[in-house]
Amino acid sequence: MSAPQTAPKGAVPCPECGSELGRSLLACPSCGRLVHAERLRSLASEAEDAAARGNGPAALAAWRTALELLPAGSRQHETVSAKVLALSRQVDGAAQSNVPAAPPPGSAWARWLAPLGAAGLIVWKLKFVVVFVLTKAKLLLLGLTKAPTLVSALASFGVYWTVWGWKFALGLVASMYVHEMGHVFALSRYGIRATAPMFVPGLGAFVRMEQYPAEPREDARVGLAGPMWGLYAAAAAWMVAFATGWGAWAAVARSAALLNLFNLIPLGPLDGGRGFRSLSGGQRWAAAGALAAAWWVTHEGLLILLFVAAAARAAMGGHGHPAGDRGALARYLWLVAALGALTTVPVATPR
Amino acid sequence: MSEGTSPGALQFDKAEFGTERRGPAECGQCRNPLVSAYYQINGQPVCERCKLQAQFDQSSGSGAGRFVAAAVFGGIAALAGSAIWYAVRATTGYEVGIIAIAVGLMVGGAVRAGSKRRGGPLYQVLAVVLTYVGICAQYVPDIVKAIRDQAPPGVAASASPAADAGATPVSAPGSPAGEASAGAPAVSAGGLLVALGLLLALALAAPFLGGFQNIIGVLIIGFALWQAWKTNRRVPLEIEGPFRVGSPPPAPAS
Repeated sequence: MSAPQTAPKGAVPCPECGSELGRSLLACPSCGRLVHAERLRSLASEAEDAAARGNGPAALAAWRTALELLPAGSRQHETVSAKVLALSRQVDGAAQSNVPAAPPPGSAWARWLAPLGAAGLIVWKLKFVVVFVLTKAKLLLLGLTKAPTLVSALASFGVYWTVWGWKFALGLVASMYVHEMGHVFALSRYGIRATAPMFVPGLGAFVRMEQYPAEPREDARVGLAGPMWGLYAAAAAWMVAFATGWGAWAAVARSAALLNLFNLIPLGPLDGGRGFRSLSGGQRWAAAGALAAAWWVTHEGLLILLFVAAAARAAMGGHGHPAGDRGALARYLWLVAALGALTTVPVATPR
Repeated sequence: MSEGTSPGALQFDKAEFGTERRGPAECGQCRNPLVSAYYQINGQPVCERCKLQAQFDQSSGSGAGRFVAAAVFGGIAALAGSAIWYAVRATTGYEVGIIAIAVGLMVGGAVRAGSKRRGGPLYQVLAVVLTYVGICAQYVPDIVKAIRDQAPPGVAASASPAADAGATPVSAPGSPAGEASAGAPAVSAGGLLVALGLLLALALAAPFLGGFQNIIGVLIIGFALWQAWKTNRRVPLEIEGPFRVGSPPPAPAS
């Protein structure tokens, strides 16, 4: 069988040397002229304007688009890649400074919570959940304006409703939505183009990236953002259940915790797999140890699966990422501890 | 953006490469520089040698051999996927639906590898059938257990699922008939086959036995089958070219 061979109808002559340029080429194979020179100049100008305005995500988005139009291995590709990495780290630093990780020393909160130790930290984090929901409400509402998200979410809601009743179905779909919007938020911070969240009835939901993260650190941040937001959704459901005594909310809290915990399995394209990409070998073993400890405390069977996967990844992954990533490790450990705790929420049969 | 030509300035006129790269465009397969002419295979630029290799790969080999290889690879992947799913269920107590998708991807990928990446309806059907069998096979231990739990005490003592399924016990040569019926009953080969067939049929029907309550399980299996189907789509080899590299030949003098 021979493949059809067509004449190069779509070939464009290089304005400089006359070579025939196929549609997939980024540079002329003879003289090296960049095929998308005009667009590249415009993107570079856009990126520099955005950077001058202090809009890191917009600058990142423009530079990432430029990268797609540059041949890999060229000096221009390397230079733009370096700009992306530098901007991404700036964005990461800004994000860190915006997160109230712990009560400031000497504050009224700290004075009250200091004697309570770990319990105090959890209460502080719950306060953070409330602040988080209020500040991110706009993004959460805007996400629902995308037709594919809304329609697929309604389809999922219908499927879950037929099996578990509307209250639990609504809470489950809402918690999945918050999880996905965590990814959307992180992706937009890093200027990575992605689709709107799509629900798959019976399976969950996903956001498809249209550009690759520049390095494992970025991938880990984007990957772990989903479970982090999902944790806040589960915690919010738990708070409502605690305050009102409604069983369906407790079921939602526990299910959301299990769903997010499942996503922390450090394999393949799952969120945990991406979180592990930036960890060093030692950090991967530390995460595996934390999973074993969490299982020992909670006796949650899912944690065995996570532990086995984490230990396998640590054993087979050699030294892991050379630089390691303390930020990703801290996020992973916090998620394991908090989600593990939420899986112990006592639940009556929903409906 | 300043487009100066000073050393180190970022310019977007011409691609610049270090000494390790031999040209501004390279073959997408062998990474050699594209000189004098090149082709595009499904949008990827390739040199003439790689284009000839792709055409040869497309037309070489035996169809039956590829099908057998695809069936063997896919069968092994289905068994492995089934074992993983059962192990996860037995360990954690959860039926993790996404593993069905992984089974679909594993089987689909294995069939594609066995078929030398041919794809097409034959391999798509093979991948779907093997994926479904792989997914349902994880129910076999549960069905055997359920049959044994419900069988009368004398029959339940038998280790063979064939005996559980009602095969007529026959005496082993040289042994008293009473021993065979009181202890471990012997089973004919035909009876064993019938019982295994029934067991397989029950496992294959298992996803639908839950009725409407298992709608989520059926949807998940549907997605897994779709993954296996999609992975084995035939991608036609579309070759464009040759594209000329360098300046056009001078016009003949009049």
